[in-house]
Amino acid sequence: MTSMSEMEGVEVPAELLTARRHSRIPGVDAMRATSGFQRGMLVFGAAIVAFFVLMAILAPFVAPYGFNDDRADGVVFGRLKAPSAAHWFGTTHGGEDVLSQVLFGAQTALEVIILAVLISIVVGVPAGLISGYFGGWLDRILVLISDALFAFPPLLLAIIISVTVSGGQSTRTAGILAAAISITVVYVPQYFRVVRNATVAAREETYVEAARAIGAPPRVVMTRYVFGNVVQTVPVIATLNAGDAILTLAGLGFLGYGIEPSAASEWGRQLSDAVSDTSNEIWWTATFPGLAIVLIVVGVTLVGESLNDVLNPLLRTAKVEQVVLPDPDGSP
Amino acid sequence: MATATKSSSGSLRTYLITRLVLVIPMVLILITLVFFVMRVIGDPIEAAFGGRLSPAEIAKRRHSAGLDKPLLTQYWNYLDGVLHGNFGKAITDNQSINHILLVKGAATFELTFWALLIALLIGVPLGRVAARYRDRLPDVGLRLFAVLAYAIPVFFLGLIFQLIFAVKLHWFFASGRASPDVETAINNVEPNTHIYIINAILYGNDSYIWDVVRHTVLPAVTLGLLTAGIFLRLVRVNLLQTLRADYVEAARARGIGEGRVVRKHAFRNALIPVVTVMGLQVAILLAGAVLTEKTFEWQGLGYQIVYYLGRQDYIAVQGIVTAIAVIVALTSFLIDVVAAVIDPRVRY
Repeated sequence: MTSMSEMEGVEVPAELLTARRHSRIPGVDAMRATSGFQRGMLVFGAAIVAFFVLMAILAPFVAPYGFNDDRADGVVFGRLKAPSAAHWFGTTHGGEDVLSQVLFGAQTALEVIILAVLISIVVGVPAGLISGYFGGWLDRILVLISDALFAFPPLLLAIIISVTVSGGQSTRTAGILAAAISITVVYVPQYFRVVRNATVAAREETYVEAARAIGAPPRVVMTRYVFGNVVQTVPVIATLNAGDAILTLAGLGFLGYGIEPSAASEWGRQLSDAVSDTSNEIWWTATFPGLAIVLIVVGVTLVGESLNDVLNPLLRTAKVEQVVLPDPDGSP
Repeated sequence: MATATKSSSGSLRTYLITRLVLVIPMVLILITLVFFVMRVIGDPIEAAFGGRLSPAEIAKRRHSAGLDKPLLTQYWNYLDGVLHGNFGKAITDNQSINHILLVKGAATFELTFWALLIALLIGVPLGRVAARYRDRLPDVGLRLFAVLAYAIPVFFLGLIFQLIFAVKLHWFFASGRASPDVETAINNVEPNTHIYIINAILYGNDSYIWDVVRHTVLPAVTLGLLTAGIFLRLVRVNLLQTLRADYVEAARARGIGEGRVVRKHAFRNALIPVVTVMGLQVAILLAGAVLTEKTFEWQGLGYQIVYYLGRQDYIAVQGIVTAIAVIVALTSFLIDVVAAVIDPRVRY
């Protein structure tokens, strides 16, 4: 469509053809590149994410009770109480406040996901750079391992690692770290693969050859020349993975792995506790943590998808495309 | 994975042999990983019987399981066993792993088969609609459905479905593969396929068939709906890319209507990459099956692996993981074969 409008010589507003000025604030460029529905998705997603980040930070201040409390000021809440003014989301069969658990669950999720994404990048990106730049047997072995890991059911992988790293750890920090490491194993192969392939392509570029020709050692070539050109896709993968990581964390919790329930509140664990409640027509213990997961993952995914659409030229809908050509037949 | 062999020229047969040879290191890596990771955690006999049996008795059991040998010898023996199709016996309940794989594997197969069927029937046509009406209302709605299908944890949707259709409406059952009496009856059918719907049909009792169906609907629809979202996105993106191809543009230029262009010219070609990517989805489907099986107490491989992990029975876990690795590797191989057969470009 774009090519057609150019061919037909349709007038395009000049400011669309001149290169847009780049903004230093991250995300603003992506915003400018979107339009209509896509921009709506990006803004909506970002708003949801912002809401949950706020919820996570403010959890200790806005949560009415502690996530493990079954009484306040000596008054016991009672078990499985339906939603009311005192307990907006009701109480669990352990007599805890569901709303407080959901709020603190946001904190746990945020901490685990940030840690997991950071560790994945710190491990996956350098491994991909080195593997792709040097090639050889190391590259082959790493590619084979990452392919094998990538093909295996991700949740099972996370469970197996979780059993290994979290044996009997009950403190909050250790639990969160263990959960993050378990999730990391699932995502490292993705960063590795993308960065490695980009590095292999960049290795033969003229500017890299030029750097080598003036005597730059491999470390400098990789960090100063190749790195900047291969990491551009990483933010998109990181965003999309963050949503996936939340689901993996919840899956781990649902199966009883991950963080000890006394150490931190976790949505997956809440749902696992709610299984027996549903058979007694008690809906609130499952519904609210479940909705929290759905909402945050939708938010993160919308942001990731929009970024992907903007950065992936194969999917891009440029603004110029909106031009409507006069139809000679007059038919729609 | 297909890309690794894409450059190799040659006939279909050479391609398939190369591809089959690549399956072996993949399975080997996973077996090795699981074997050593499991050994890091600790001694399985100690974990299963520690405190309950005398140290002498534990030492005896360790000896009979071969666990007192050097690690590399154990590893070699295990590989040898796997190669001969012998996975050993579970420590906790002394069941043969081969038997577990057969019975529970059939259960997982039954669940994933229905889920895959539902996912294809919903996902592929909807993906076509979304691409056809790009950026218009149907597309917007379907993309939101796809995002939701991705974002909803399978166990959450499962619990909601249980609450509505099993607890409130009593249309379907919330857990198990069949009612206990039905289960006993249809497991006596000869030949026992361990696939309940087939067993029930062989048994020839309509109410038994109905009972199995009422147990299968909720887990299959839950897993199928969520997988449908993935298929929808795959079909949509691939169809959109195909619709930009020159030959499609040429068809438009000849004055062929957009509906016919999608139907006759673009759709089939757009499905080829979808077939390849579906090979990768098997792993995701199996992971989803672990959670679905747990939610609906569907006693398949996923349910069983969680059970044995909870009891630290690493011989059993190892066996099931190996089996899953083989299934995943072989499926992705088969899918690549299908892709090579229907699309000559893959081979050359």
